Amino acid sequence: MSNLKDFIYISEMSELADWRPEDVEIQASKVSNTPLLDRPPPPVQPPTAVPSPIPNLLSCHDYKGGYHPDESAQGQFPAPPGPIYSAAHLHLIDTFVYFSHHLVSIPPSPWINTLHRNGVRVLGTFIVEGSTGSAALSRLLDMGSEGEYIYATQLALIAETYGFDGWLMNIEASFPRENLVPGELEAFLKELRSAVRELVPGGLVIWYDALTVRNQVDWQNGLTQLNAPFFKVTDGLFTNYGWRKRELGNTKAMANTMNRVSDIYTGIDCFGRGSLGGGGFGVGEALSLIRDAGTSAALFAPGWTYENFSGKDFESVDRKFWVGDGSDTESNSVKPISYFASGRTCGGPEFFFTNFNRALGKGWWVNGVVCFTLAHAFQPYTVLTWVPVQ
Amino acid sequence: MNTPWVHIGAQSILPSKNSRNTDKLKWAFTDETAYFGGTSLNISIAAGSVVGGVDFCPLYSTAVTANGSSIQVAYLLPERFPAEILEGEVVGVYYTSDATQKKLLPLPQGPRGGWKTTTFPRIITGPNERITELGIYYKHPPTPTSPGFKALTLGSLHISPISTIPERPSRITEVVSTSDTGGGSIKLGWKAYRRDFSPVMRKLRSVHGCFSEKTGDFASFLVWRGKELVGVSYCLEYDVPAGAAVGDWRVDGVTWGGAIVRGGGGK
Repeated sequence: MSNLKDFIYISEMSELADWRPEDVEIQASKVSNTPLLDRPPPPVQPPTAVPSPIPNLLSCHDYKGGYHPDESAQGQFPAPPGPIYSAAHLHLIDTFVYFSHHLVSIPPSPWINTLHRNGVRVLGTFIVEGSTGSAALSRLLDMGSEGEYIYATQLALIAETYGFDGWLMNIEASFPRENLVPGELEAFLKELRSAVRELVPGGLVIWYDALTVRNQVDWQNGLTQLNAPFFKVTDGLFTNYGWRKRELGNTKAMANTMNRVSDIYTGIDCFGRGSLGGGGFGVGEALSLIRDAGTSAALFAPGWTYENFSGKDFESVDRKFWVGDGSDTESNSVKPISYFASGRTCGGPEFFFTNFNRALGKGWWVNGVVCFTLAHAFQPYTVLTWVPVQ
Repeated sequence: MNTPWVHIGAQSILPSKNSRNTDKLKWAFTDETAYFGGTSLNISIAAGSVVGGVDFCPLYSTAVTANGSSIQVAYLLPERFPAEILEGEVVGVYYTSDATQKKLLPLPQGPRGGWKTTTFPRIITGPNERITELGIYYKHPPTPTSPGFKALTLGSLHISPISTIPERPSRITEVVSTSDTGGGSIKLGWKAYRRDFSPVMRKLRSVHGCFSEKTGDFASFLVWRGKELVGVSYCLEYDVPAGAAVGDWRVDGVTWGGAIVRGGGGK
């Protein structure tokens, strides 16, 4: 088990096989305590001439490789100076994927707690890449003594145990030829989805558009006959980012025959890298077409708002990206995410509470009394200046 | 930017309505004070407001049951010079529901400069009514105010048809500390036992978002060493780094509705 003290992730298939829920007893802080808030539907709006908003928005948190000290289970008291990345505009997001390049990324509990408090589902990532990925795949379809796929069971148990809501399956390697019987990967995914649904109410398994039924990594940039069998046995398809209007149209037409257009998460790379509109503040060009097509959307690496500017003016940059800079969006060529996505209601049907806490601060107040503050910039833990409760 | 602490898991529900440049009443985060945690909202008056008029600052879209709900607010009226205290100004909370355009709830004024809490009377309306929008309003005095004039600092907002401040919440046990002989760190542990099984508490625990299988009636815990706040926990443990002073430990619980319940000490 790879345990960077504050985080839990898995790097080898053998570790995944050996993982046991009992291990969590010594890692209680890594487990989410916050149930997923049930967002009530918004009030019915009168029909308008504008297109319906994008049905679901997925945010794939690929932030500097993942697992940073400021994401640790106990936070940082104190924290080093400098800007901090946090996700402020959660009313626009339905599903959040914690992404890293470890074999199994388990979302840090602070992310799960905050996202659940806001009604956002959280998925971990199972990823295999390159030649080491093929070695991992040689074991993925191993069965237990009762004919069950042992890794499907393990992944579902991990989600249940740590308190998150399912998996993004990102297979960017080919199975060794002798390890793949046609149809068997679909059977594995079907079993994984069943197990996740059984153990995690409302849980999801989303397939990433990379491996095809020909056992080749061949990004389709949409739904095609080559990845449709995997889409059929999962809850959604996260498409690669290289699509254009033609691929999106074909995807919509094919998904429509399956009555599952909103289960397509059309991918946009916020760093550009071939995405329509070039990413960044240009994502509106892609979102406009996605909205017209009626699919859902997946934003890969929205931490662009921090990373691309090294955190400079993060709050205003992030705000401009998600909800606009306060100017009239109709007349502004840069359209924020909120222009295309439907904002969800905040709180639950019988409960709403906020203290406006932003996940960071210069002091910590309890009932209006400051209880934690630093007189100066970052100092080692043992020489903190504490202000006692009055 | 000086950031003494960060905890991704401490983020609350942030406003979903964002101020536009043309709005006359705007919100902005402030980390200079807070009611709980590290941030509160400043509500300020922008240029172009009309003397004697009413401006609105929308904050949230919600769908909370309106009938029987009460709204609780923690707020701070900024200190002002006597000349800046304006006769006739009113600041308050507003909400809209499926049937109501805007219902205005003025906040008690009273002394300025300190945090206050208030609970408005329960809303009486149709059984299927929902609160659809929440925000702050400001009724301007007959004399003009200058742009940037701060009307209010908002610390918390709480709405529910059920009392979410439990009468008898779970009991927090004394804190037990154990040393990690290898690394020199200390692990603190405690329990939270339910002790009230009345219909009110059973109803409260059935409300989605008001009970955890892991931490029961508590959303988080404040970890104290004497009178010093050491950190925040979202489970029944806290790891104290190696080298920290030996502590007189105590843990307080923070309920899902924001109330603080004092816990037992340590041993």
